[in-house]
Amino acid sequence: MTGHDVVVVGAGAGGAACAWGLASAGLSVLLLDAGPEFSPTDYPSHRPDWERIESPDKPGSRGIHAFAPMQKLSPAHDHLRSWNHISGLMVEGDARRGVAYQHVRGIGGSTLHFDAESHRLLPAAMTMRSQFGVGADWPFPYAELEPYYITAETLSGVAGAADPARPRSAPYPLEPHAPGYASRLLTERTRHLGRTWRPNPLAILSRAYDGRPGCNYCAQCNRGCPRRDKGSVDVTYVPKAIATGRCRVLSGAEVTGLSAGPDNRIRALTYRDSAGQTHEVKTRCVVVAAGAIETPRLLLLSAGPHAAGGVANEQGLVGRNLLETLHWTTCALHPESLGTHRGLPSDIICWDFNAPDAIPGVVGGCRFAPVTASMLLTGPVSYATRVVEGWGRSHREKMQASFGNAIAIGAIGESLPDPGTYVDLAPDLTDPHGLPAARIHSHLDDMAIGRIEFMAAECRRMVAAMGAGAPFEEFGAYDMFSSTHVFGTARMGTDPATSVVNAHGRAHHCKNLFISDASVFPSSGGGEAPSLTIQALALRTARAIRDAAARREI
Amino acid sequence: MALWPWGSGGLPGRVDLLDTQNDPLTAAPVTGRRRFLGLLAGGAAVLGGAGLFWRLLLPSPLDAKELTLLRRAVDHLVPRGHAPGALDLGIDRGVAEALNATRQFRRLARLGLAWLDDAAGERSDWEHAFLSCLAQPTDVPPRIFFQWLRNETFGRYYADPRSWAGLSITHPPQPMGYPDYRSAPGAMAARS
Repeated sequence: MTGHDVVVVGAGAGGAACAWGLASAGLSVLLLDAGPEFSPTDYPSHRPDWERIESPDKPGSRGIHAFAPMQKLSPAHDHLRSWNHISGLMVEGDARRGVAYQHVRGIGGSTLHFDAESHRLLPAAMTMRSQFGVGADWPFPYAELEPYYITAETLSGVAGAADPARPRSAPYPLEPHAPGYASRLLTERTRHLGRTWRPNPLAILSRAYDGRPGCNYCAQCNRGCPRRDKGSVDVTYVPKAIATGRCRVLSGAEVTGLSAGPDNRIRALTYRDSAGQTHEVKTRCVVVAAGAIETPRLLLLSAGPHAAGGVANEQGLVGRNLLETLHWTTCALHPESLGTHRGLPSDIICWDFNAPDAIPGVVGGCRFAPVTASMLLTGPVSYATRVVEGWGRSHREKMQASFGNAIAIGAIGESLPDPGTYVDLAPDLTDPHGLPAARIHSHLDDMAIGRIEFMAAECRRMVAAMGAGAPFEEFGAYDMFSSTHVFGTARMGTDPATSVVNAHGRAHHCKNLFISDASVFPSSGGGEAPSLTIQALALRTARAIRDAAARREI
Repeated sequence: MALWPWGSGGLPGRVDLLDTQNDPLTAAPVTGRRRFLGLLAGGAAVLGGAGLFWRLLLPSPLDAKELTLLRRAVDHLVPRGHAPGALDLGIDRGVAEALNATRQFRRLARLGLAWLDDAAGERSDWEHAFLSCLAQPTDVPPRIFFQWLRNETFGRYYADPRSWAGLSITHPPQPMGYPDYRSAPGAMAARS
């Protein structure tokens, strides 16, 4: 197959945005994704048994990966274990466990299950090395990214309110959603703690926009949005890219290798279609956007005569510097009727501790939000199995008294590089094609545990301030790896000795290879959701590819 | 922040042995699997001697006696009250189907039901049986079975809207959504 200026691998936030940027700039694009296409009718939230149906989920929509053994847990940190009052510890034994890399393969990628949080990074979080002596700096300042943020917000339909900590050159395209009933109580009842809350910027339409309807607040965003008011990239960038007439989209196309030539350029890539047929695509330019676990895997799988340790891996950095989701959530039952099964997953957000130096004694910030819907506490099945103890008539009575009253406060914090946290190829696990799966290594240092400790204490304080009873469930990263936001495994920077790609996402030593996902993030931010930044970076990378094409460099 | 890895019908615990996405035996890491098999054998020896042990190795579908025990357990979990009970909604048949689907689950069910029957005693005291089971360590087969049975029974029951009587939910989330999300629950209905 030939005839495309650029092949983009992965149709999630980065790949779809980059494909649109390229196609709208006049380049022809082939957009490949290993997973299937989803349609609004695939999502179950109109069914009475919606809670029992995994969604978004179709054959081929989950990759496989292995976890390396993880560190021992200390009795001194038993208060940070994940537990439920009915079933006990979620991870038994004395070692941390790899439980999940939460992702979706398919056209739309993990935006199909995201809660649509559309955050800009805090500018200070982009200079962690120079200001705080940890991690790495971004190779350009916030101001450089700002115009691309505007474009991404406009295309996605972000509803939000100005935040002085994150300067912007234009208002949000949509006015913010009004906070839900429980979030208003949370705001009022944590005021005495000094907590300030603001509308969470969300790619969820607060009114009809761009041919899509406004949200009807069903609280099921992470199961896939049947109305298309959530700005997953399959309903934003992908149709717009196709509409240019210059973007072809192929689902079920799993790229299995990149072929590097002697001139440090990718000559071709191979993919397998859903029927198992192998295809080779010759190309002038490749953009890899498969996420921070699968992108390094593909680069490492592509080792060959002209790429001994893997493509773009001259310094052995591919897969290193993995940054994970450092999180904590406390769930409790409130005595008042709150109706927390309604609304938006995280309609308000607290940035009070978001700055890298905001947490006492720890470098790296965090954020807090109500996450009852994100924890899937929005239907009677979850209440019956996780919230209400016992059985029989007393269980029934408690169900009637408590449904809709669960609250969950969650936090996500900065994740900093650790030599023990990286991705490599699994020696003993292969995918259905016989290729090694990615293997995730994770180690939390004292500062990461300190950050979790702070997040847990604050979540508990807020839950108590709300007037809730004792927690019924707590869930955090101390004893398990369960990440949805992952970053850093093909870090960008100006120095080829310490980074994989340059400031435009272009591989230092492979001139027609670009990376356009969270792999390139030098730092994670203090709990910001990465999707909007991935999109902004992808649009910037598309611009760089267009310019390079104009200079006939690719 | 889609971090919750088990789904709302799944189990927030026993990551190795209680993963309902997989068979409880095959999902376990090697050490856990060996231990689990050892516990099965040990449990069988205590409860039913060699006969039960061999039936565990070559498990046929649940027999009539076991299905009766299962019905009793399901009925005790969700008895009929102001709302229909689990048996009224045929939940026991769905649970039995799920248990019979794989050899591993049949093994687990066979041992778990025998344990519960033994604990219930001649008086068929299922309340006592359930409480005794909860007093067991979380990684022994009867407790694993009970946790699975509880989740599966409640999961199937509350996925049927006939069970929602008396709860503040009247419809699935879509297509109506919850445009009243800014108000206290019931406030809009009370005003209209």
